[in-house]
Amino acid sequence: MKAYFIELIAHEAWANRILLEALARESSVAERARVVFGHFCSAPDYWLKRVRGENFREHNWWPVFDVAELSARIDHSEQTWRDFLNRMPEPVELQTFETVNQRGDKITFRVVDILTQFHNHSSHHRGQIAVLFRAAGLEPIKTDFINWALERGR
Amino acid sequence: MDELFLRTSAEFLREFYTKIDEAVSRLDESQIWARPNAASNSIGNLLLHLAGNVRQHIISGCGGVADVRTRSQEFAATEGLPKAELLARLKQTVDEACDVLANLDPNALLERRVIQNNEVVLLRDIYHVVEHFSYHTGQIVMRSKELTAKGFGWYKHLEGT
Repeated sequence: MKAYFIELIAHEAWANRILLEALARESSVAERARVVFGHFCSAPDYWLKRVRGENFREHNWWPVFDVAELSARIDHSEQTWRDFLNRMPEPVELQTFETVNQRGDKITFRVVDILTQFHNHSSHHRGQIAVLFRAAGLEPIKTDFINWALERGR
Repeated sequence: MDELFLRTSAEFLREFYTKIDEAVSRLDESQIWARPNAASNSIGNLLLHLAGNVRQHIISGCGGVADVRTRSQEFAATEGLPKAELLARLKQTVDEACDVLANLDPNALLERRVIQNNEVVLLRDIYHVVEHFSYHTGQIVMRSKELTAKGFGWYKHLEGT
């Protein structure tokens, strides 16, 4: 199932890139949308910190980036998560990571939950950016996973 | 993975439904069918649309029940059911879909089937439903927050993690 998870990473990067291209053109929605964009683009980094055992407690969930910075974040997330998954032994989905919460309690995450969570977290917020497009009289960008899959004959 | 994928998909659908229920329950009836502008959908439209998508792709596409969806009607509606009925119908649809997923032979996940006029691999089509549900959940939640000027506090638990 490694290939399936890498598909999710590829879709995530594709959807974010075409949405960001539209934001770069549409100044009427850009300011508010960039705040939402910065938020969901920070989630993959948060989860990487957690699975790598790095300090995640001061993670900034609401960074405000310009378009060039967001583009760099998209590239970085795609590359690092793809590399991370490629290095992971199968069955990837059953790999777990132990971490501690702020009370010091041990908690365990499965890769399947992390990837499904942040992939859908991004979709949740891309849907909100589509609302901003509609409110501004613009046609939203189609970023659905099924569109991405069908365009690639998958 | 196959059984885990099916179980995870059902869990996420139920979680998204719970958020929608909370977001919609705090609204009054007039807010359910109000459109922000002529080009935008109301929350009522989105609830009908989600139920239509889940039924077509999972209950029909995976479960084999006849597909009777008329997608355009989901967006054309300008008024209709009260929120309690809309929510009950969506919950019923999600429950039926989760039952289909629980009983689906995992070996079928790599089958190609024609759903909504496209030949799709079942695994990707099921994931599409989850992702699509998440997308519109975000829209309903956003609209509810705007209308009520109140957040939800769903991620307070992460403050302790």
